[in-house]
Parts: sequence; structure tokens; C-alpha cells
Amino acid sequence: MAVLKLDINGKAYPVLFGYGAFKLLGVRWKVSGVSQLMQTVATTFSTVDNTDFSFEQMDKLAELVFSGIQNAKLGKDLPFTLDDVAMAMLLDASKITDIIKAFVDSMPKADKGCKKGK
Amino acid sequence: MQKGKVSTASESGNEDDYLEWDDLERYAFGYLGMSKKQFLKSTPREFTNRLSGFVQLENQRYYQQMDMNRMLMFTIVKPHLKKELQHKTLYDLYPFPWDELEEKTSSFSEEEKKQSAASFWDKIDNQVAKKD
Repeated sequence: MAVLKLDINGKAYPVLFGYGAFKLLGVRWKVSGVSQLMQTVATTFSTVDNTDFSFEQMDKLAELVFSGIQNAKLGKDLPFTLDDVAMAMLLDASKITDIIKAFVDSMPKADKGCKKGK
Repeated sequence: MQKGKVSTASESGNEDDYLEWDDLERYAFGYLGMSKKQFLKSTPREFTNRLSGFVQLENQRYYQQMDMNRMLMFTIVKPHLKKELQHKTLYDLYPFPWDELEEKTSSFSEEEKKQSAASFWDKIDNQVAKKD
């Protein structure tokens, strides 16, 4: 799977929607469980139509991406803020589609069921 | 959880089960033997695939072990069976829930299986006859 990169202040940063990102996001949003966190994400972005985001949704998306970059750069300090991430997304709106696609791709696919393997 | 068999929370069928970080970490570090870095870097999709592959493998091992135990049990017991039970197969005597599942998922009917086996042995016989 290709790693999504976002240009922030002239430098490309990888965004990885791993569990580390969701854990950081859980702390930021004060949500304890994984299921509740996914529900919060689903509720927040359920009204998005054709990448037409409200300010609140844009903030949440920036937080999601910020956590994704923090997770990709595990343990390293990042030389930019949440506002820089939001600005980077506003400057290159086509990236929003890529971010949403990367997020959706990181989610489990519907269970195909498993047969007895012999 | 049934002893010797692995199941996940989603398999329990209880929709009220909320997945907590502790549950995930138990699966990641306990069952899958992942490092913390591996866990944090893995996407929910990768993690789910890895876990379901693990569950599938464990179930496969469990089924094979049980099949072997059944075969052994049948071999030991068969000489001592009463006359009316002599014609029974091991599937009749010790049925497992997955026997039925296997029959249902099998794409060949009994007749097709017989024909396939017959044609296989015919080919072998022909090859042997040619060599002779």
C-alpha cells in the first residue's frame, strides 16, 4: 500500500492511519475505546458531501491527519502545528480526497467468513 | 472462549461488545506476538487481516488435531464394536459440527466424487497395463 504524503511548510510528511494515530486521537478527543473513537469519526464525517467540509469537520480532519503524521514519525517531535496541517490541506484541496481514501483503505474490509481449512 | 479454539469479540455475536484498547493490546501482544511499534504502525485493516489469519490457522490446527484424535479413537475402538455398529464410519460414531459444514461447502456431489475416483484409478490401471 502506497504511503500518503502531505506537504507541510515545503516538506513532505508521511501520514499513517495506524492504531498509534487512533490512540493519539483518542487522547485528543477524550474518547476511551476504539469502537467509540470510530463512531466519533463516523458521526463527525457522516454529513460530508463531496468534500464540502464545515469548519468543525476541517478541524477534526486536521487532527486526524496530525495524529497520522505523529504515528508515522513515532516518537519524534514534529516541527509544525495543527494549524500548519489545516493550512496544508486548504492549499492543496485535492489532498483531502487522498486523505479520505487512505483513511478508508486503512479500515477493515467486510468479513468474507472463513471456511474450515484442511 | 472455548478451550483450544480461538475466537474474536466479533465472533461472539454480541453487538454490545465494545472494543477497548486493552482488548486490542491483548490480541496484539498476547495472541499475535507483535511488538509495540508493530502494533502502533499497523492499520486496523492490517491488524484485522493478521488476526483473522491467526484465528483461521489456529482453528485449522484445532480441527486437524481433533480429526487425528477421532481417527485414533476409531482405530482403537473399531475391533471392539458390536456387530450392529461395525458398518458405521468414524463420521457416524464421532461426528463433529464441521463435518456437516464441509459436506455443504464441498463443490462435488457424492456421485461426482465416485466418478472422479473411478476415472483416476482407470488412468493408473491403463498406465500400469502399458508398462507391462
